[in-house]
Amino acid sequence: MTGEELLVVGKPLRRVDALDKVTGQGIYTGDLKFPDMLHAKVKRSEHAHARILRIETSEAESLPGVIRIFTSKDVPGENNVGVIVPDQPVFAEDTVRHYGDAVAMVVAESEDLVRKAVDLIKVDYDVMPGVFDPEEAMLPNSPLVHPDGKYGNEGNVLSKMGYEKGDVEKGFRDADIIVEEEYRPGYQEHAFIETERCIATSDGRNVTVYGSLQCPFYVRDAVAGALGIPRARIRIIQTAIGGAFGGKEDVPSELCARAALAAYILRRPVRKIRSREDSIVMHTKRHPMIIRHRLGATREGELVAARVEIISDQGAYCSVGKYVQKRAMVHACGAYDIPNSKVDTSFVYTNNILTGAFRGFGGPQVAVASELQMDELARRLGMDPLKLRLKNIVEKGGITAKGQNLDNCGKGLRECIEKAANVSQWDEKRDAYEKFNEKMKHSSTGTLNIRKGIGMSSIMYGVALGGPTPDSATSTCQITEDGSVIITTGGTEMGQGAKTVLSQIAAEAVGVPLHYVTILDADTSIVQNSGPSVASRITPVIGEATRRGAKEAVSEISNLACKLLGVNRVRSVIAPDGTPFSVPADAMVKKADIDKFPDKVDYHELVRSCYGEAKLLLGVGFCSTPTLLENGEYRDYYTYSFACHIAEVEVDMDTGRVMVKKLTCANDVGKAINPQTVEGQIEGGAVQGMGYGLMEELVTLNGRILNPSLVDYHIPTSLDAPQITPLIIEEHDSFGPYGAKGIGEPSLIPTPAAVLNAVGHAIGLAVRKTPASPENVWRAIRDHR
Amino acid sequence: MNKISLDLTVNGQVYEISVSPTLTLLDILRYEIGLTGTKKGCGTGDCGACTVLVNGRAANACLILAPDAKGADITTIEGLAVEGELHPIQQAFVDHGAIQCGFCSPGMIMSAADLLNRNPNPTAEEAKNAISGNLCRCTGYIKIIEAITAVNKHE
Repeated sequence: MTGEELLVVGKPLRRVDALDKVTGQGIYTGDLKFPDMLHAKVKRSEHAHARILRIETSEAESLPGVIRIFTSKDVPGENNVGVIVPDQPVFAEDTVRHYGDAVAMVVAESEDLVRKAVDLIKVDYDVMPGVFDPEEAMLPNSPLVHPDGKYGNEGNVLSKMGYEKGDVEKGFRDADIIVEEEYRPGYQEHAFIETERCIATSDGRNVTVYGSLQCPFYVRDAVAGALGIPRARIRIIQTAIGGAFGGKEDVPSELCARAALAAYILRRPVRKIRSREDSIVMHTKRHPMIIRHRLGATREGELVAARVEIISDQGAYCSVGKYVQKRAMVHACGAYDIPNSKVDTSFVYTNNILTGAFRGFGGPQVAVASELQMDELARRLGMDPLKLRLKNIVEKGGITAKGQNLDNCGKGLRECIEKAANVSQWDEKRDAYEKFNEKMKHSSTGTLNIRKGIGMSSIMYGVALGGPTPDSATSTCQITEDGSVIITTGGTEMGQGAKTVLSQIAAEAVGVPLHYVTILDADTSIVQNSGPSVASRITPVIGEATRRGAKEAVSEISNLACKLLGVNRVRSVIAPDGTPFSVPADAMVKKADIDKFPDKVDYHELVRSCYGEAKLLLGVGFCSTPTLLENGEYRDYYTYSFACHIAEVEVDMDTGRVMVKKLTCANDVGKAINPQTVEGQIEGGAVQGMGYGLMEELVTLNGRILNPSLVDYHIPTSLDAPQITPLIIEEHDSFGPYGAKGIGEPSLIPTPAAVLNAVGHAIGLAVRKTPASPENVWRAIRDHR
Repeated sequence: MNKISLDLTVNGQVYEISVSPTLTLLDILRYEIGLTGTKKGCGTGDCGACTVLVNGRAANACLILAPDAKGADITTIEGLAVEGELHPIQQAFVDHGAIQCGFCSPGMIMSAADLLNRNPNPTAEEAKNAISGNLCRCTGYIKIIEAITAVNKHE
């Protein structure tokens, strides 16, 4: 037994918010009620691209109970929001650029009334030609979405990004085999069960907004901009969040800016809850991409060159598109050691729904291309896809396809692939399913024409924001007189388990049981800006800031314990009854024997003594990710986490219907702070990824979303959920708290490609777009015949 | 529109209320009675977040109009625990990590409670069927199914 044994971290403890959530006591934004509360709803654009000639509101205004109708003219500050470029209007001014633009907003005494009043607003438009295909949008005579080019766009091209490493032309000349294909991963809708919502209150000077918000500080900045008042007069308070997945990252900025405007002017609380239709029509989606992928290899299956071109539909506004673009570019060639690689990406404005953050952030799309390419290459080489991957993965000490030296990670990938292959019985099943399929081809009996397949996908995922974007976090820790611990951070609990994990980290650092710790909900007037709750960065980055803050807060307590025990270092032991004690760091005492152990001091006595001696028990933790190298260059990402998912499917050859029977999901998380919540992330991410690969299809026609409801846009139900075996791999990271890396996104990224590769194995043909819906699979089978 | 009066029993307590006949049971529970544990995810019966027990059986509260709730005996998530002690299905959700964002949880738990009332030892397939009308976007359903099938399995 050493002094390094972990007390709280690494244990599958119950979620700290579980009790509230199973009893219906958790308070979400929609559960809040304020006296004199008004309701608000926007009038959406009725065209994908049009000039607004006139907005006629008098009939709507005449309805008793309608308080006011707001348009762009009422915005006192900047009528634009945008995390990267301010291209998205709070209210459309002279032009609408997609169906989700807000033209006006009704504020009235009831939800019924706002619905009625919105229908009575008449808008005259001069309809303009729209552009709905990103490749057409790049052509010279295409209609322009932002004609003035003031957002750095050239024509409709918002941004181009690319890199070249080595000599790609030579690489392909040296290749014995070249695989070149086009892939079309599509849109994905977040479909959080709780739609976007907020309630704003104001006394005419200060503004408070309660909301379902992933990034409260983004909202604060947007509200400040729209109202033209200092950030210090704005308070954004996060309530419980009913799911986010990236869809409540920057999206609430416009929503909250509108509600705050109404509350600020009317001096009454204003609630805005998006209907499901408004939600789907108005908020960002996962970027659909056209990916042309050329991969060269030797006869032995060694990768020598990759050339990837990506064109993505950004929709009408930038949102966080350029960040998605960077991540897509860095990860475009997959988790492989490829000496010569060239990637070019173009993100293009269209009059479609805007695209932005969605769990994985470009990762799932590029993995569909790179991982299907690996299977295609394996097929043509007559090699096992598993062996082809193991031959080419980038490992510790190697260079990524983008050119980053993996000096601090890289062992986790091989472990993920080998573990997933072993547990899923890859070799046996690959063989057995091929024999089964061969038999089925020649079988005329039986009613179901089934094929079986097993497929894999292995990925690397750059943790957190990545250089050169600054990625830092702040957290405070306060130890109160009774020894309980208060933590503040700007990180948000959106269901992933952030509060539980941060509580475990803080409890571990202070040396107390989990229930001593309270994590305050993010409130921008109280907590620090810890950066956005995105990019799987809460555990590693905000968690590390939390650990440092807690260590600082407890330092006086530790000093006093050292003094009393006459040692230089102490550690904590929690007795079976839950009392924490300090003991000498090298004391060979187990928890069960602590009662009889003499050299110990009760934590509570230490806290009381510290307060008696007027010692400060407050810590401010700060950290920034180590992306900057000594030579002044930046790492693409400070570290990577790795994953390999293996899917098993059955395909009905007559209908094209695919059933995913089993997913084996190995994810390297550095250190599982809470194995139960990690499993929850893996299972939930894998099913969301399965949905993207298999069934989720947003249907659009000239910019209009044709299926804006949960009955027409299908997310997986319990009947679609396969058997899942989550496998936790831990390649310790030197930066993250207790070695932890991120898990939120890498739980989803490999799954769509794994499902598509399994379908490919089953039917002997690649389905190179998402979803592998019955129609798309059936068409692939028919076209081949 | 003229209001109608109706009485209904919610979690054992009788309420006499006067509401618009177009109001749904969901809005009655959330806004008239003030029980906000039952959630609204779509308002069109697609997501199941508003599932409550109506006369003992799981139903979408958003699809029941006020007149149809007359005289009904309703159990909501707030009425499941007895004297502060969690219902076994609530405890199982806690123990198995079957909760993430928690927005589907009240409806999910009510569907599971309905199943367990009729079938104390459901198989995984039966559990899946019982919650097939309750969408969850966070958990992938795995731990929820584990929780439901584990409730009455004493080892």
